[in-house]
Amino acid sequence: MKQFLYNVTGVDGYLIFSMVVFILFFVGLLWWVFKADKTYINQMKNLPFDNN
Amino acid sequence: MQVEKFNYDNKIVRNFAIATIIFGVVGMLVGLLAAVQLYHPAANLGTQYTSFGRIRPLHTNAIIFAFVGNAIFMGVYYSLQRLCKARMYSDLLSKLHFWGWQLVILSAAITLPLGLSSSKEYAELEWPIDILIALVWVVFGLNMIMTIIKRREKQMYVAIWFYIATFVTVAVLHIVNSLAIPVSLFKSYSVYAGVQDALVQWWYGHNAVAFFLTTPFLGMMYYYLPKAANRPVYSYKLSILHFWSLIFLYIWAGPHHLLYSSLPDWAQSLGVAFSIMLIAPSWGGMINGLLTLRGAWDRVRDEPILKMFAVGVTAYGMATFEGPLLSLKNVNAVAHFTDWIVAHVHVGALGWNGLLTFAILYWIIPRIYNTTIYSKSLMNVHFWLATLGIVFYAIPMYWSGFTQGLMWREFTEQGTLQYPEFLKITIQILPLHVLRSLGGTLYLVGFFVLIYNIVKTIKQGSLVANEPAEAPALEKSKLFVPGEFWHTVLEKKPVTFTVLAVIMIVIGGAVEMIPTFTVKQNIPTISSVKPYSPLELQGRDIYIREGCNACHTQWVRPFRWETERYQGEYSKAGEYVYDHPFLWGSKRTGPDLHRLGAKYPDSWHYYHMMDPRSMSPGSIMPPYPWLAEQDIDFASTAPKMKALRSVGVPYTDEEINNAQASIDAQATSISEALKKEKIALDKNKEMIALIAYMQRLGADIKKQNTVSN
Repeated sequence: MKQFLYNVTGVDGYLIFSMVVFILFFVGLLWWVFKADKTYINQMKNLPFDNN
Repeated sequence: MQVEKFNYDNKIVRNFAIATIIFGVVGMLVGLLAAVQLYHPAANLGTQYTSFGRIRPLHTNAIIFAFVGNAIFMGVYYSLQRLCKARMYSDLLSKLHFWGWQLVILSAAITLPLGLSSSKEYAELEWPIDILIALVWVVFGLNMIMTIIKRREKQMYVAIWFYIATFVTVAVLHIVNSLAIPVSLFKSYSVYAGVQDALVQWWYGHNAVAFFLTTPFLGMMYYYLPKAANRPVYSYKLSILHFWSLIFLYIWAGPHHLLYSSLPDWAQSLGVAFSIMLIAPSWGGMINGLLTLRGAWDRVRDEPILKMFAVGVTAYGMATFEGPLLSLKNVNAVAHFTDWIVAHVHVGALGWNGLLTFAILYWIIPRIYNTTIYSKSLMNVHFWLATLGIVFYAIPMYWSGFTQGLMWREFTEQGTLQYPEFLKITIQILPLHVLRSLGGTLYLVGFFVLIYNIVKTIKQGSLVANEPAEAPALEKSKLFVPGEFWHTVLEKKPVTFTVLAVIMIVIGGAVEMIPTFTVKQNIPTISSVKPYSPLELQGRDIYIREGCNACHTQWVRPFRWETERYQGEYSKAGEYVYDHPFLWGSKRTGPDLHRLGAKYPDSWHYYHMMDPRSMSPGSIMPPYPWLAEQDIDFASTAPKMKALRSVGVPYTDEEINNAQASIDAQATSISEALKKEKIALDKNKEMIALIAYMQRLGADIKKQNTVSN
């Protein structure tokens, strides 16, 4: 992505900031998804079938 | 734990279901009319209110906002109540939402045929209706968020996340893209000009597909598909990854609609890169949907609802594979402006949105009427009519698209265009257009079968307007358990969740837009480009009113086959700096017009507008005889110029004060030129203004070349 942005000037700061934010977010998300508790996942999966 | 008794509101679900059905018929009938107009010009019915340029936005708006819109609200209101174990927060808000939305549709149905249009695709409605849409949308959002807050279920199921993302993103898209400066009650100019307007519009247009036609349906898929299959979703973990990556990636992809335009290269490349990445979450969602049916394929054979889900989700997979493919620059060079795009869109609309809507209707109606479906075999008939309809629609359009794309670029060995006459290529594909309308008819017949079946089902049951239910109250004190993972916590916090979703979607748009708006070198100016004269400005507004941009682009791409065909330079960013709104178009049913100025004499335009076939035998363009009868609205000139000045067009006081004199002089010279060709046309007629505008197209660039030569 970075090479596409080289020819834009004056925007480096917030581009890098947004990239870091998203990398952190997705790493956190992946970490959470892989570690998630199986009973919790099963409970969520079956939520639409609860009572109705 | 105390068990609370409450009722689900089924009446509001029923109302949205009926509206879905009514506007489905209307939208599809108008679509069929538009399809026939493209090979049988008499189907324009000879009135200005029914010509293709006005009918086409009526079709797209009716399908997207009336048919699909009502279907979304039907699906959301039914599933949200059950997933939250709560009645909708406020019956009054539900009613306001329902009637407000129908009022928006009614306003669109009146104003679009009248030619009151902003010209921006899927955002054609004028500013007072835009405000109404925003208000109704807030009512919907408030009702939804408050229902979620008042829920009796601890966690928010994945469907609800998609509903929240839909609400917040559509709100942001609609407001940013609709920003306009009003001239009168039904006329406004986009605050953005040219390249910037194009970027905002396609950021909106692309994400309208993402967040109106996709995310709410994904949410509904995650609820209704497991319910219909009677088994939980294949992977809940995958759905979490699906959600966050989809909403994050989608928002960046808009510029793929502007490849080979004068949008800065870096923005085009960003659009391509993110479009390719989008395959991952899109297919993650499709696989999750289809694999939910694993081990239940024997039931798919017997259950038409599951068949509709299976084909609908597959259509989603095909369209979301094709989308990134179309974003590759080399594929886009062939496909853009052709019927290929029409095929692509309809695989999504007829397959994904249509079949899912039908499946959900068949699922909900018997349940809220406490009965069973009237006829399962009619459902099967509908399924096959719809599926074959999609096939017979899409194949001719793909064929037609490839034909157009390849014929436009074909050179002879001597290096001249093989098919220099644009019309010849158009005539070549007409049989395919006939086939396409047959495919559309099949699909529509299938829809009539649905209506019969649903009406019969409704008659044999009775509406359970308030469906009793009970659930333990949600104890706020036990909501949060120490040591829980952050996403689990997030699923219990609707407001935080909403804010996070907004941040996700805003950043992508901001990264593309802020540099395009603030860095001057992204839009190089051209000194010979001047604002439109008052008469040309009036002509341009007639061009917008008649929806000329539905069939004609103003965007010559930097290919030899285009500069050769259109006999001029490729389009530059600096040429559009006074274009509020931009009029680049997205489809070439007719040729590009950006280099049209001074190509033909005024008399050619007159005859061509009165009867296109007199100048171009075999043309499918509708005639515009009313332009020779209606007077230009002179009173609007000064307010229009003042409005444009407030968004940056440098009209001076003197120019505004002398606008009428300027119009008189320019109109007289056109009228005189016509008189020499024995055409008597009063200088006050709209045709004169339109000719002035068309003769101006590309003239600034030609002038510059004359000077530098």
